[in-house]
Amino acid sequence: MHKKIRYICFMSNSKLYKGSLTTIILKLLSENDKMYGYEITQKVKELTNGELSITEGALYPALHKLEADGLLDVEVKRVDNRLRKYYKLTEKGKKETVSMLNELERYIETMRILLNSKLERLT
Amino acid sequence: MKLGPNQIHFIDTYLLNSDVIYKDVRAEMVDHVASAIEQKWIEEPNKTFREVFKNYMIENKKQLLDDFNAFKKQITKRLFLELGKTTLTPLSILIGILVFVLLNYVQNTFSINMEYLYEYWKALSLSVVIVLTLIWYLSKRYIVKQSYIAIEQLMWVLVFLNYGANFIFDIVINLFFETYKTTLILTITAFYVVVFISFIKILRDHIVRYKNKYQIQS
Repeated sequence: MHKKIRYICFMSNSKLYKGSLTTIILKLLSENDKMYGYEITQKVKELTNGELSITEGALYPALHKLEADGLLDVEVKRVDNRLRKYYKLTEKGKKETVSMLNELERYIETMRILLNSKLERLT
Repeated sequence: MKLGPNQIHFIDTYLLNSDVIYKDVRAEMVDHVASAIEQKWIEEPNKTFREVFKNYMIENKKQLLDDFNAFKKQITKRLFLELGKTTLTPLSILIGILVFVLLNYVQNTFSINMEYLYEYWKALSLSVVIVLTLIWYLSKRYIVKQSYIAIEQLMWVLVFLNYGANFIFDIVINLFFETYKTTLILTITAFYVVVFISFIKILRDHIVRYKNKYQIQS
């Protein structure tokens, strides 16, 4: 597997998903008040029936980058005998999530149009 | 199956002995490893904690440590960017210009010999770095008290200021000293003043952030 891609392991084509990691994180956080790293990896696995599996090597740098960019806020709590770092969306993060999801939807729609026209020509 | 305090302490010590020395990074890593082990233990309840832990580490230790090292580099890069951004704000540029104008005025009023100042510019830049290193060290020792990645990695900014910036200025001064000696020395001095302020701001911001998030007792 390509070095840069090995951080996110997918059952299907990694390249298609790799650029969407930030959007996936923001989308999950927009649906949950706050989440911690391991919880995010498990939630993605659960929602995609194991098709998508985010490794910590991909997840944590992305979370820290989003935190540094002011899109996420952090809350550290003592849970089950250890410190747990929860991530939640800031106001800026909420706006960015809406914008990124719109962008992704437009992208999917464009791809659908392109692929459908190609398929029509083939049939 | 939830892990007990001794088991969490065991994971924490194991990671500390594997050179994950920063409290913030280790805390997040401990939680991740502990959560994964708890999950594995539910799937394999007949195994002991040590067995589940050992199997997890055989499978994941290299990746965990590789990710940690990559993260260290990422943080260092981000700190340099942060220093760049803080140094290039309109306010910092204005301070730099004001320092330049003030020094220029002092130089003209008292007719300071720039050849003489040239001999000492390295001592000046070194003093700035020494003072910053002292502030950084005392903050770590008496305010932060624990090892946090962003504060520790600020050391590389100090190393850059001591060697990198000096090296660059040495070349620039050797090339243009005869023509622009006054401007050069005053610009470099103004640069160090602005960088000094920016460094202190970044250090303070990170201390406040850690203090709020991890409740450092000062």
